[in-house]
Amino acid sequence: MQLETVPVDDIAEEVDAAAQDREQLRQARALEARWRWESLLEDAPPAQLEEKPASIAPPAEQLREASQGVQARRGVIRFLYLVVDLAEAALRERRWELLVQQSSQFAERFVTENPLSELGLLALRDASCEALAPLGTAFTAAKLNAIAKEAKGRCCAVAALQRALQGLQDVPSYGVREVLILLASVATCNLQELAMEDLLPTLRLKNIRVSVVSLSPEIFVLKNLCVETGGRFDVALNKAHFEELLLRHLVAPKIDGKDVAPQMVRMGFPRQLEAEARKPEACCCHCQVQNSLYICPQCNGRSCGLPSRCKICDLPLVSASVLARAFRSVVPLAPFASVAMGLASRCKACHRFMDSLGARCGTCQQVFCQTCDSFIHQVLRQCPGCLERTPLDDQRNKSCLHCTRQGSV
Amino acid sequence: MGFTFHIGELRVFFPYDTIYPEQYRYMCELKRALDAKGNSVLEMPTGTGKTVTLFSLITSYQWAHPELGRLVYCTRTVPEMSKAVEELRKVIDFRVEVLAKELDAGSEAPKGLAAGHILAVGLSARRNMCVHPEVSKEGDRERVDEMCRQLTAPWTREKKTASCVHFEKYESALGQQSQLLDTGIYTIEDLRVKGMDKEYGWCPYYAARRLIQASSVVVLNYQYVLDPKVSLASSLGGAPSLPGGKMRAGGLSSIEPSIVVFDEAHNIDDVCIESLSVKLNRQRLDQSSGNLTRLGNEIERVKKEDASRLQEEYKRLVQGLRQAGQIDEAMADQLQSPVLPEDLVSEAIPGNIRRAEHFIALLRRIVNFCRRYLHVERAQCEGPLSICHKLEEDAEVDSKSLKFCHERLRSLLNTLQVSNLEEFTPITKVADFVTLLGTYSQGFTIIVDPYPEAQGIYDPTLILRCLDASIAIRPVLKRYQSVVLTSGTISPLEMYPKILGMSNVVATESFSITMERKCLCPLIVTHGPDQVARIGEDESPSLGFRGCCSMRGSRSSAWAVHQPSSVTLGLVCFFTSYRYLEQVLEKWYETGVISRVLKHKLLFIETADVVATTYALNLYRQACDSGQGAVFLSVARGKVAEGIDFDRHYGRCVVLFGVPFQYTLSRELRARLEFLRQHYDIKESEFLNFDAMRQASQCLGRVIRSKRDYGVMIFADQRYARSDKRSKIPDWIRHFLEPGHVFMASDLAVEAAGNFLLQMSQPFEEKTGVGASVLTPQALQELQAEDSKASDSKEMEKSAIFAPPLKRLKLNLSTPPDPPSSNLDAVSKQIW
Repeated sequence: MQLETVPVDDIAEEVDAAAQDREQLRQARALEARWRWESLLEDAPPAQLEEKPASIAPPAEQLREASQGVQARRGVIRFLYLVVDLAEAALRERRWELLVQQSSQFAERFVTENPLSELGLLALRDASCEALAPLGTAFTAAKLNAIAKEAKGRCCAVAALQRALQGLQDVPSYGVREVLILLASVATCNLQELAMEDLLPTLRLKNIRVSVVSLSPEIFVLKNLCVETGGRFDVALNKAHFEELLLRHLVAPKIDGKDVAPQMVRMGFPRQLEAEARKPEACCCHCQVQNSLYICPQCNGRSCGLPSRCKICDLPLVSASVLARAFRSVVPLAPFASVAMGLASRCKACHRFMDSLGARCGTCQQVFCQTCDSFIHQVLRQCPGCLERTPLDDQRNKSCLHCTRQGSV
Repeated sequence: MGFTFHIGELRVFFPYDTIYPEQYRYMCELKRALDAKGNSVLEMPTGTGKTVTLFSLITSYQWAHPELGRLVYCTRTVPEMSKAVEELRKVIDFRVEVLAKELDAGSEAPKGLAAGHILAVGLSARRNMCVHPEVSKEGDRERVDEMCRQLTAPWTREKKTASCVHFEKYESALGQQSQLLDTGIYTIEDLRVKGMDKEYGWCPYYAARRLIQASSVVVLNYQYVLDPKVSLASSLGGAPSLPGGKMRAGGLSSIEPSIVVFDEAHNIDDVCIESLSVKLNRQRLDQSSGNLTRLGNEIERVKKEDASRLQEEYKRLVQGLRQAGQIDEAMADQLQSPVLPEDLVSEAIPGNIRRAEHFIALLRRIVNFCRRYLHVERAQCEGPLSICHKLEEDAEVDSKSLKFCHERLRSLLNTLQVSNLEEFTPITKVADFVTLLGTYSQGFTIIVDPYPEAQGIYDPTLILRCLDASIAIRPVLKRYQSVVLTSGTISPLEMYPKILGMSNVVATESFSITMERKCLCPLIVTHGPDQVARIGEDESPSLGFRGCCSMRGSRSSAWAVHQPSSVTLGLVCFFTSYRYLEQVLEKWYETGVISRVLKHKLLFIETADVVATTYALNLYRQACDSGQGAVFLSVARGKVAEGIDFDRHYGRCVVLFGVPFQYTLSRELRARLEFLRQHYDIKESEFLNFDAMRQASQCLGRVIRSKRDYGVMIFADQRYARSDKRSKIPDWIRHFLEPGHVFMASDLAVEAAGNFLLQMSQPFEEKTGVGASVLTPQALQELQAEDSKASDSKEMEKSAIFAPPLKRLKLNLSTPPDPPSSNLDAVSKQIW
């Protein structure tokens, strides 16, 4: 039998069904063209990331729970390490810009909305972990911005966890301990002879929750770690989603009794020292001359801001408004029911005539216009009608709330 | 745990709380086939609980129809066997529990079979089962067989020189007519434990072989059913004959009412062919000459010492083999015939080879002929008939006596009381060769290749190649009532009955996997980012590549650099051959791709060495576990592609470079293609595509192992986009192939894969109810109710049209299932 050598392609391919193929090809090309256009836009030099004022509404989830009247215990006093991944992968598609922007926004909002909590900042770079800011209430984005441009090396989540573990070890037991990692890399390496699993028992023992918000698909070990420690592993689909996911971490986490024992916490309500009253003085936290200073009721030390921790005697310093804000961040205002209104009715807050739709507070039955409704829920977080009804909570509280906010009204 | 439900009148015991819809449909089809006493080919994706479904239905069927014989379940590897037996144990335990509960009210609890127990055993080679302290230490399969035979051969036992304690115990247990084991389910490991046990202590291997006759489920390797050399076909038939069991009514019929299941059957034709092929080379022929000399000496010696033995043998041979029946049973077991039982000659051995010396002389002539025949410069290919003719002319051998060579040799070895059979393997092979030659004139070819390894290394080999897969499986099909072929990837279904010569195929179905979200993402990448460049166009087949496909370094590099940076953890790449893998690696190394890949991930490579590959696999797993992520480069048709799972984070993405065609210049393949074209009217291209695509889907199927798993599958070759290949992708993968993902540039594919993985990382909640991918008993009832309504209306149509089963299949294939895009939308809506 003679064997002729025919090229494989000749026998393996069939010529028919070409028409069908052509049709498919056209579809694919069309899709491709569309994509290409989009990706072109994406690749254009992002000279300035638009500075859209971040939405400051409480996350949808929390609102939903509030409207359903879900009762949950939450840890109000939080100690959180924010870890930003600045490994080489963050350079891709300029992710570090997003990470830096978002993390500074997050940090700012975190200290405002969780007034009794403290935040530390770590950066993952070059297979190690740099501490940018220790646990505290003051936070500067400048340093993060500066080092972010030199993102390099690999990402080593274990290093970050180790560092956070050290920092969180000694915080008071009434606080909730958390680590939040903003991840851009697809992998984490273990440079030291320490696997992620080895850290798990310690993390559990110390009641530290690890959460991750990732720009890359999930990493199995990390996800496992998050689930085991009671945190969450979220993966962002796009920028908006990333923001939303981050927002979820603003809300104080739910806790059950065994995590944090109920405990009386000693706090100081400092007196404010006006600059005009005496000669200028320096604060003991930054050693800088400040206009307004607060005097620690325990040791008479000078601090420059509230809420904070006295540098000398380590007493948490708060004010009544801070406590009120802390309360409101845990228990958000229930959404108002929308009602159809006559043209002649006025809004309870701004006294303007309303459009056809108004919103009624479920507690005090007052009606507000839509602009005021959104302002009340997103900024004020107190219902003016309800405040009026309870004369005990006097006007002072309300105005204080005003001045701590952006004060746009 | 578990529940029971009815399919028609049959009560099915299912050991889990929930059932997948496709499992239910699978059962329905299987039952239809069993009812009709026909054969079936069923495809169901891996990770949908195929094994438990099979066992659940068939054991329930056996329970309902006690006249049915045993279930013979064949699979490929020992771990798969153990897994299967474990599943079976679950099914039976559940059944016993249910039956016990129902009988609670009754006064007397039945025992053994009546309570729903069965006897099931796993059987493997001696190497895996031996418990002898010395022998079991040997790792080599042949060596273990050899040592075992030396210890257990009848004449050594008579002489009492050496013996195996376990075998003696087995013999004595048999002698006392005692039952070796109670009912129960025994894996190989269980049997070994019993063998080590003081109380039992018998040899697990022989016990298992014996227990087969009593068991109602047997789990074993393909070879035991298909390969005539090791076949147990004779002992597999018949109904279980345990003392407590009901005896089968009726006499001996030609068809056994047993069921044979081939799991992972996608390569069954290769196994069939392999089992009937013989390979000879110069070394082997030289050895067989040596064997002949030794046999000659041996004959001389025996003549002097004990001439009566040879005389007796001669007398026996005159009477013919079958009637004689004096060949020792153990001996017969060890020297299995290469031809199929039905083709065994039952006539007397021709006169010219009855005398031992004559026979030796004949074999010598044959060996010499082979040696001459081997000495060629160019490759040759011949049919069996013409070779027989040449043999007749050259070696003065009558073609009739060729047929008897094997039997004659066996008888001779028996007479000479040779215990060291391994030594005589070469001459046995030669005898096999000529016996096959003499027996079958159709469906075989003889190939002589002077350069089998590489050009320039002269080492001619003589290959007797079986071309017709149906020869080996024919007795199985003939003998057993139902044969079921099943696998995760056995598309296109109509091909298998064709090439295996299966008739009476009742059910051929491909079941898709029902998933609530789109957790597969097949992409066909056809060109590089620069539009024109097409992956896999260049490089002619004359280079000797299997798939003839090669990518230029630049293109693949763009691919490889992007891919690891978007895929987390495991990335598996399959290449078409080792050679191609090496070439690509070389190119990647030159262009610096490797170093860039290494920045993100570790790189592991499969080699031909099994130990090294296993080591690499372990490290790969470790890397994935620790979150580091890794790339595994391996070869289609290799060990990794066939047996290793890359589930969950071990394999998030699998890339297949090129189309894994067989090496099309191979003469064996060409001869087979020719044969298929002539006898089965299968076009060459059709078969090649079929074979390549089943390999491809095997490779890609590695990545999905359960419903909660997800993964990207990338076909990196433009030829996959053509409809002849695309249509052969298994249904359950094609189901997820979006129209836009058919012709893709590599950069777009990277983006799509990245997006897909992000989507899949989102939290997900499972549905419940009828439409869900997991059915509770209630939901199943609803589904059944719906089905019965639908089938009523279908029945009407059917009676009008009279569609044969194969037509139905085509109908199913031609109506494409709904694209699951709506599902995805729902998911994304949930997220937002």
